[in-house]
Amino acid sequence: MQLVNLAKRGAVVQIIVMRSLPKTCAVTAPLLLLLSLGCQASGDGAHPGSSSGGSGGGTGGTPSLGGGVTLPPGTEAAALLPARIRRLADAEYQASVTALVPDGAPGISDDFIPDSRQSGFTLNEAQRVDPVFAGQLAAAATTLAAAARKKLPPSAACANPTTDADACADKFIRTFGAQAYRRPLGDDEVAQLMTVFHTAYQGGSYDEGVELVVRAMLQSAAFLYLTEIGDAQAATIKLTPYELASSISYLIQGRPPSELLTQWAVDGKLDTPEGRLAATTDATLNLFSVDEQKWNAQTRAVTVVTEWLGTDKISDIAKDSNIYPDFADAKDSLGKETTAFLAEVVNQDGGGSLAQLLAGGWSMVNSQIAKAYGVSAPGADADKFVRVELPGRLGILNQGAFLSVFAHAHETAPVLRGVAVMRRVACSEVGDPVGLKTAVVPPAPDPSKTTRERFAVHGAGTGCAGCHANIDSFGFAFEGFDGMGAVRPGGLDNNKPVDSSVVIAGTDFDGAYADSNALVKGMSNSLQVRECFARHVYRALAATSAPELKPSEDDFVKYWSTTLVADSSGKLDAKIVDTLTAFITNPSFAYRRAQ
Amino acid sequence: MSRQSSSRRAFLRAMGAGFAALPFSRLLENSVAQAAGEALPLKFITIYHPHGLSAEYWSMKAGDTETAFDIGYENCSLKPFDDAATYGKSFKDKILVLEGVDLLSNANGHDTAGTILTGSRIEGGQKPQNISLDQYLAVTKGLGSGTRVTSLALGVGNDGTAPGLTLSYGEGGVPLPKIIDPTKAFDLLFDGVVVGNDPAQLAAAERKRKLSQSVIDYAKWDVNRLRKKLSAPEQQKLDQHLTSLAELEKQLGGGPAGGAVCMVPPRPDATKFPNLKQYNGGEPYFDAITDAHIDVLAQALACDLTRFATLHLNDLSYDNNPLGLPKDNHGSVAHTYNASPIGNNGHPGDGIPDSWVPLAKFNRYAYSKVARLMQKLDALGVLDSTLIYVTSDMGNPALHSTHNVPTLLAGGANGKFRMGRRLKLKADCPPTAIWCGENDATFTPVPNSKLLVSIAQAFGAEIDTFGTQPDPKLTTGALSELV
Repeated sequence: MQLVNLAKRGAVVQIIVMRSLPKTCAVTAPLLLLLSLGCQASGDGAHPGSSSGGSGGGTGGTPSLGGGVTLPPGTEAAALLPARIRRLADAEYQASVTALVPDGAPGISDDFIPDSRQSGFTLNEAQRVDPVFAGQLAAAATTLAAAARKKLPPSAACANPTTDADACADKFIRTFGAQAYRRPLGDDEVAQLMTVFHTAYQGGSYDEGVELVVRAMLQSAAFLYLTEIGDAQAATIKLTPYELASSISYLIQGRPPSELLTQWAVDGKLDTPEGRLAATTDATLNLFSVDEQKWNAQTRAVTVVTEWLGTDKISDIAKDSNIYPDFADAKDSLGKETTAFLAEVVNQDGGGSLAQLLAGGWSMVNSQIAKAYGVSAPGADADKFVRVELPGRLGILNQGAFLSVFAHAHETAPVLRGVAVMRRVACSEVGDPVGLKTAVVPPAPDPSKTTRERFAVHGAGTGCAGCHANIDSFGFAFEGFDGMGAVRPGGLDNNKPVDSSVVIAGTDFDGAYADSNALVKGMSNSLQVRECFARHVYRALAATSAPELKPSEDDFVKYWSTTLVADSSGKLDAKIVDTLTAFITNPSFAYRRAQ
Repeated sequence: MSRQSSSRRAFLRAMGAGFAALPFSRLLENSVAQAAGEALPLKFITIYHPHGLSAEYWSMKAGDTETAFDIGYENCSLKPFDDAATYGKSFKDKILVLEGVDLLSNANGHDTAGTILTGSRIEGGQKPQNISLDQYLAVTKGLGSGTRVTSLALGVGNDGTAPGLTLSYGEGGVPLPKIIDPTKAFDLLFDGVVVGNDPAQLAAAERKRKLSQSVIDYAKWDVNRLRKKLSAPEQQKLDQHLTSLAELEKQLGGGPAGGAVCMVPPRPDATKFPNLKQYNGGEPYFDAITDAHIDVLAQALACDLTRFATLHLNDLSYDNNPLGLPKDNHGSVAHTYNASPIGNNGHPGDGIPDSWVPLAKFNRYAYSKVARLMQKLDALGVLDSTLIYVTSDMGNPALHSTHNVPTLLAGGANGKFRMGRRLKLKADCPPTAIWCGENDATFTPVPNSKLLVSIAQAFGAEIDTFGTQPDPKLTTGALSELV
């Protein structure tokens, strides 16, 4: 897939290797040898082969910080993301503790407070450790450490704890710590953790000491935050190998890096775009493997898309049961339909296309969805989703999950649907009533009118028309479906025929559309929509939507557009998984600027 | 608040300065103060209940006066406050009912809970723009610093942090998450608290505390290690973490707890609520969760483990709920409410009387929980030193109106407010312009900011404005009627 594209890009991908790694430290077995004597890195990501103090290629850094690394040709410092940290999201925490304490952690983050969201995405800069979350982390760490003590990791084995407790603890701290912190520990860190060990060991036992060390590690900043800060502050920096491995692994697979991926990083194989691309296709690294925990590139892609389109919010909504009596029973299936459909799309050759996602004439349905949609689905039952053709319901936006989330409890919501499609799918500017100092007055119920007729007051010569003419057009196109996504019986709303024909303006797919199916077909060919998708993938993986970082987003979009391949008919289309991997093969991926 | 009473001072002198530094010295200190008949520190509880108000069974009736009123009639939702048969005594003289308070959120009613303690507009339905009053008092003014838990946010069924689900906000309107599991609330408040002087128990508690302290010491060291490597804006991401670790550290307090009214209650029985979450099977247990929260909270106030708490209640949307209401409380109770002019901002129309009763029942259910809390606090001797602010996000829920929201102050409030009264505040619109809107000159709201200013003043905070509105008049001034 992308190997071909990269070859076409040619010169873009030259990286200057600053200097080779010093030989004082064995770099061939990072998680074992680096922990042993003679290689005492200090602090996050710091590693012996760090390259700082280059010629100062950066142009956009903080003036007080000089120096920096030489950036790849075509990469501007101003377009880099800033050096920064971010807290693991709940799902990342779960994956991380499961990797460390395999049997001790099922569902331990289920009761954590939900992730803060930015633009709908769970990976972002807003995650904090507030007092309630700190308490939850402390409780989880206590449980996990107790589980780890019951079944001590091999690294904690100590033949004679009475005489060798300190040596054993030192070894355990360095080995388990490197796994937990995704990098070797500095001597200062080891010393602090030895103090923790001794607190429990004195008056207790070796095992109690180990337990307390695990508990402390799981509440440490080194475990809870991913860093993108390199070795030292400078105008421009390069991520350390450990940061590179972590970043690739969490962004593409949603979990901590494997020992092998870390090895690749330490060997310098992830320094170049070609190297990172090779990592995505390497059979032994297997970033795309489907393991039993389902952490892999496909499931990450599904998560990114559900957060982008908001369909993951289906589990948090309820409907008025007088009006939608079937919703409560169908809700779970509606969410699963969309994820099953997405999984099927991204599992296709090349990672599935955006056009399929938006306008595929099929879906994955179980018996519950078949009933709600009024279609037959041979072979389906309550748990089994089968692929059925749905010519009247094209793509993800016409599925029940999206249509339910963007609707009110008792009726459809043309404005919510319209704004969601404009902002999330088309990246069209939409004002906000508060910013415009406009009081929001929902149209009064009126049983003699269709929903569209009631909302048409927006367009009636008021100050609202400027924005709502377009917002409502996007929303009205979906009026053939009710507030939970079922086809309105007989095409009627309040006993009057539904009008779902719209005229779209201000986009690169302007024109008249008969309904939402025609609209999504038009959108599936749109460059604007394709680029909007890439922008959202950027926000999901860069874990930021900050407007001031637009140059970085633009840099990604520019790079991503060079990776697009034509399909058999010669048409360019965006592949979903490839768009995610483009984020890490972007030459600027490995670099940051001072903030 | 900052001034110590004479018996407090004497007590602390007797115990020595080192002892006073231990959080649990407060427990004993309080019992000494209590025994001397002095006012205890003022505590502040805010309780949110969903689904607005059935005004017909709540508002003042003909013949009611400020101090003489009937809340015991059939269907009256305020009846739990005058129901000695159920709650041991009448609390009619411990409530102050306010009609006509407005939540100027400029947002959908469902997003308006965020305005209750902030007095702020909810920008774009996203979040309020300033700190909430409980956090302002507990954190900014430091009134929560002396207790084990600076402040507590509890919720029933939903741990989301959207503005409709959150009462407590940090600086800048950052939502603070809630605890929805009563056992977790219990652990936060009481874990490690030992009552009595059993040496084995004390030694075990001391070792536990020492281990936890060691973990916190390391976590703090490690956060600071990372912090040093970051630019100033990035360092801010870790500041909250350091504050949280300090809060955890405070909760480790050792030493025995004592006092006539401070007992460590049994840990809530988790088998009574096998599911906690709304939309995920938790609904049938909401009633049990609510009661457990209230019982833990009451005991925590009595032990002076915290002085600031918020409680976000939920409804009873499940089949065969104890109120006999339809399963869909939202669609079949709140949305079917069809008001008379009393519940409709004075607009004409008779409404549908049958639709008033189910919502009144739900309101009464919410108030019954407040009465339960008052009963417990009274038994523990701390009702008179507590102020409870009870309200909803809407007035008329069928209209999603955020005007004329049901507002109730309860408890003795250390005499800061004159309780045992009902007040009808200024109407939003004059009789000559009953349809006036928020942008009209005739619109004269009573924004809840004024109530928040009054409460802040009751706690000794010398402020005259609270909240964020385009017109500063809307956030300025106290409600002089309260005192």
